[in-house]
Amino acid sequence: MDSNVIETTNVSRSFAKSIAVQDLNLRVRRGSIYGFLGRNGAGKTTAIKMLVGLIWPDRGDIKVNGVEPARFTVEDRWKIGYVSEKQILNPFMRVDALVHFTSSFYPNWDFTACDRILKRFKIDPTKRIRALSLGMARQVAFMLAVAQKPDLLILDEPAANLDVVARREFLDEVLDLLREDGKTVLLSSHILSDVERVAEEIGIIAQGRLRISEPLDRLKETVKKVRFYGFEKGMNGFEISDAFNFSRTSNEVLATLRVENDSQLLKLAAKHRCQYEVIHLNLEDIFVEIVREPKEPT
Amino acid sequence: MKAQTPFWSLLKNELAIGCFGGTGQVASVLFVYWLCVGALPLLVVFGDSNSRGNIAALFEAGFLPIIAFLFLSCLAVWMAYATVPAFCDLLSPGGAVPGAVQHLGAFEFLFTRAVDRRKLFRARATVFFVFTLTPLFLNVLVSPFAPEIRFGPADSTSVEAVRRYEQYLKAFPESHPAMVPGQIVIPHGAVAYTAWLAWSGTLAFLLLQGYGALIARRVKPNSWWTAFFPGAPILFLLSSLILAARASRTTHVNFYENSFLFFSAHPLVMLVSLAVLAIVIQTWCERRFSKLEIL
Amino acid sequence: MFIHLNPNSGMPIYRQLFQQLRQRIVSGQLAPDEQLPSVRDFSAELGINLLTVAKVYQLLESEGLAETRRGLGTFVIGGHKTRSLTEKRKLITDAVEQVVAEAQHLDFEESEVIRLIHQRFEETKKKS
Repeated sequence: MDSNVIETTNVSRSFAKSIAVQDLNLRVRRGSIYGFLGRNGAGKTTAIKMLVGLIWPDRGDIKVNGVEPARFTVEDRWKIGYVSEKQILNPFMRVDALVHFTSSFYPNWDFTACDRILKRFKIDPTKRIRALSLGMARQVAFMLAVAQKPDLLILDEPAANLDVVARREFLDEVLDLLREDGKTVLLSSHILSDVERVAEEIGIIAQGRLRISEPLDRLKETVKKVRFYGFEKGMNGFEISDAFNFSRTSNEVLATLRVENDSQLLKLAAKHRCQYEVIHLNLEDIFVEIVREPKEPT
Repeated sequence: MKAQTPFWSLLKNELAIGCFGGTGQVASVLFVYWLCVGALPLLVVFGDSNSRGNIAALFEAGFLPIIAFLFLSCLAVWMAYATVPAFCDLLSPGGAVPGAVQHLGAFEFLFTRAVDRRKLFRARATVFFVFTLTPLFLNVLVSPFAPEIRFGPADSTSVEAVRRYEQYLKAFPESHPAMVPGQIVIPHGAVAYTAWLAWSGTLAFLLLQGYGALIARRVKPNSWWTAFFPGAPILFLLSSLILAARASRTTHVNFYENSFLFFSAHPLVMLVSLAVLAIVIQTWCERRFSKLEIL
Repeated sequence: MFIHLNPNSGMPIYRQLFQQLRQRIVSGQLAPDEQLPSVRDFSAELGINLLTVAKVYQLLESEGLAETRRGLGTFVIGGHKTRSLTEKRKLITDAVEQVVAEAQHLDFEESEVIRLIHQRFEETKKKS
């Protein structure tokens, strides 16, 4: 079996005049939870739709479970569960009828998982979809994807309308799923605190390009905000070439950069004769620093 | 739960059986609909006091009587609306209608399940076909028991009439003179008439389906597109119906009558070519449907 | 065992868990040969990723604080007086670094800082 469940190579896609995704090289390892992040319009949803075979790329290759989405057979789709961002289910259908309908396409449908999830989120199976709240409808969609028993679960904003407690329950479900070997989850969410709880690897897409793709721990350990101050000999010529963000006032510099080891900062401080203070960032802070357009230097 | 095959599952879904009660309820609604709509073609011939089973009068009316016209228009509208799968939603945004006319987003759901897209398309096409054309085919079934159809042009001695007599005799070699002078009885005339209508209806259905598949990929969420392109075949169909009727008056070539006669003269060829066309269009539509992008 | 983790802090979850477990082992709150929860159970209890717990257990093993016995589980390693010395030294060194950095920041002389430390030791000796 491939070690990468998802592998895209230089994938690009544009719509009319705008480029949605450019040279995307995404690698998602089997058995991991991959947090796929990006602002609205950054190309995230386009990328995900290409992975599940709703849109075709203009250029490049995509392989999901070793198969190109354009060539997915019914058997290939058994292994992929997808919860879409908008989650449009037939509003006139009852939940139990929808389960019955969807289960007819899958050989290993897990009816006990359906019951469990419906109970957990307190959803009445006799209700029609349009009678459910947005959050509940989303959970029904999630349940339908999980009950399929997929190897790969792709979740695009699955918890958007859930309250805090329901979101925790949802994350527990995702983690439970992962405790079975070999399952992979690609989670795309604006609720970064949720992603931070469960993801091992993070991919950040901005302006159609994948800027970051690495383990979450490494990201948090190396990307720091550093405040440089106390310049003994002035700040002229103080520059950091590959900082994510850089701003200065008359006597201070605030930069977001990658700190591989302590000596890196010590050397920099020694060279420019200043002091520094390291500010630790959580995922949300890091994300904002990376995707926000850099401020003009003052 | 009883296992069901994917195709049957899709079919039931298209008929919204899951939403509004069981198979029995849906079947009875369908039946009532067919009864109301289905009686028209034969009624047109026999019910209208002017024609009374005289097919010549039917064609001479310039264009088909109002009822038939309305029926065909409704059929055209329904077929255009229902056989253009990918953007039915754009004609009725919000998608409050279940089953056959579904919200575009519903395709996103179905496309991301383990559903064979070709089977899905086939299920939809089956439902639409059954819905729209069953009345015509019911007519065909009933037609052997209908009264005789005769041909008797208004002015039976004109050059025009003679030419038409010849045409009819060529198409129906077994026709014989009727009781009423100047008229000939056309054996199996009702069958031929209803079969012609069913054939034309199926042809229109197939062409509309093909048209839908042709433009589905290119529909952009833009008001001009959504207003014009899905509606184009309706406009085309209606205007060609009207134009054909107008033209028959001016050129003295009755398109409807000629097409009826041509069909009756070569029934086997027409049926076989329709079957071939159906296979070709269906396969092509399935292929294009499979490649549809849901943006 | 009650562990509190904050996934949204600047410190990665694995590091938080590791530090807390290490602290308990070193201080004796977790007794030698006591069994730690299985990776599955612990991750379910804490609501975090399985691999995070696995990583922490591996780290504990590499620091000699715990060991995995095949088929049985992960157990605390006891009796590491020397080891705990290294740990303690590290903790003191961290604190010293902080004090020195603060002093430099506030422009205090080294001698002044040493005097303050000495003063504090005297005060606590008097109390005990």
